[in-house]
Amino acid sequence: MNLPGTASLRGWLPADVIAREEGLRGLRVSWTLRGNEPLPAISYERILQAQMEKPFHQLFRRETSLEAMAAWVAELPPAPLRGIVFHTSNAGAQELAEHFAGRGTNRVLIQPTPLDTLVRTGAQRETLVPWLRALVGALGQPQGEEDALILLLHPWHIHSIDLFRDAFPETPWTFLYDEPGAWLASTLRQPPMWTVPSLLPPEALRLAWNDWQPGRTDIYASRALAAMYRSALEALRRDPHGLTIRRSAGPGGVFQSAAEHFHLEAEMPEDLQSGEHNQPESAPEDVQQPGQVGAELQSLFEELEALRR
Amino acid sequence: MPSKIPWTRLPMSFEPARLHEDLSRIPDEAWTEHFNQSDYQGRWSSVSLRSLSGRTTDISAHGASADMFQDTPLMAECPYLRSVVYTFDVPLKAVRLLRLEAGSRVREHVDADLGLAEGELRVHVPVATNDRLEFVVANRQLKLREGEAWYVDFSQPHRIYNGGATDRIHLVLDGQVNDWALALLERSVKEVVTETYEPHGIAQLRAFCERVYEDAGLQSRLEPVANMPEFLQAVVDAGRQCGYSFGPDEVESIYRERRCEWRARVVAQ
Repeated sequence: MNLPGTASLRGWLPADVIAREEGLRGLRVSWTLRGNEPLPAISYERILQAQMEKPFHQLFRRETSLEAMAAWVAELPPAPLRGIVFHTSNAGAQELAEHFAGRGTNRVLIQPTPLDTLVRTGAQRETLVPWLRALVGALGQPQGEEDALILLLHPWHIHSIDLFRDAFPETPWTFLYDEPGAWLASTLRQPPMWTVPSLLPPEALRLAWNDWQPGRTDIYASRALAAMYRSALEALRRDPHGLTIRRSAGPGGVFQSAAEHFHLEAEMPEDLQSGEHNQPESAPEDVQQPGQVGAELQSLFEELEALRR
Repeated sequence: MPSKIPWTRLPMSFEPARLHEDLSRIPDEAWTEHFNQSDYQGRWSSVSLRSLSGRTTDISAHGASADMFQDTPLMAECPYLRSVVYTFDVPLKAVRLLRLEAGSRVREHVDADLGLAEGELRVHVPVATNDRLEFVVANRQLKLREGEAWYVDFSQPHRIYNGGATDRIHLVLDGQVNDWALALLERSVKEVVTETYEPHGIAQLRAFCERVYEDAGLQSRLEPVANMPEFLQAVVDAGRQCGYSFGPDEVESIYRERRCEWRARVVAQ
């Protein structure tokens, strides 16, 4: 594949990072043409799937090396990354993303697949940092008059927070979390793919295969949540750029806290101003966090609460 | 079981003149048109040397164990072909001659039940062919010459176009994989040189793709086309106008390859 000229990747977005050969040298970036079409505030993967319905986007995907991506990004103005959102639940993060996106000059990137693929290669941090910056630069390439890019990650990315801190040391970040009972109720109602170990390896959640038992998603999920809380606590204690936000603050409170932390105008979108928003559901009384995990979860949750206050 | 072998020439060679001599013994009326007519364009027919019923006109190949097949009268009437077939020390299933007439094509398809993992071995021995014959497997052109023997894993996408002026006839034998077959394949992969080529049309299409990546005008012309047949034709037309020569089959083949790759991703949410 010829190295593309600097101008020629404009309008192309990284669709994924793929392994053409074994090892890091075999990694390639696959690009899809987006042009000037703005990204809606839905998960990046859903945007791509919709795009791939058209035959053009299946046939005309192009590939470059990671180095070529980095070289091209180096010629661009830096992506206007204003904040990174770590979280424990897609629903809460999605709500926040929609409120940011509702304010015209913001752009949100929601769980971009190539970023997850890159993080989960397990490469050394020193290797990944420049690639991560280049990938965010490519995903956040100038599109219009947006002046702020907010990056929302996958729940397990809290375990790679050191990598993100190294890559974006000055960028404020938040950890959006929930009361464990409410979180478990919501998670069990519609278990996400990561609760299935064959779809996301347990190592990504800082768990092991024997943490999972058939029919006990509640135990696996609770252990995963405890691990996320632990990683968040470690990071929050070290890093002044982090902020915890609890989902029970309601969408308005969540948005306001995040916006202030990201130094964005905390002008409330209209639907939040009127107060006509839904409060997150409180846990039904009969959803208990399982046994010993539950006790540990509660203790970790209280530590997070203490930091928030 | 060896790791996947997409194709290999085998370490045997047979005498084209003797193959032709046996071929000439077969009357025209013995040949049967292929049953699934949506699979091909033009004329594609077969005659059996070994079949389930023992009849030469029984050209179905699938779905039974070797001990249920029997030689047809044609096997005895074609002694050299018989000796070629019995070179292969495997339980034999269907043995046929497949004839693709000049200008005809077999559309790209996969034979999912013909992989090594399924215990199936399909061998081709070209009896009559020409240099305009395109035998394309997983978008690589294989040059199968008269008298050679080839193993190909037909669970991969494959298509055949006879661009020449003469019929292409292959002896095709299906067998059950056994230790002898596995040893033969292993030996072949180690000792026999198997060359493959990029089909000309595929090379042209790949070059045209590079052009599209850089050309906003081509992008805005092709991107909105949602209907597949229209899209294939639009790509062919745009390619031709830019000086690239390839057909809709090639576009469709690369499209499918890339779509399969996309769908094969496991994405955690």
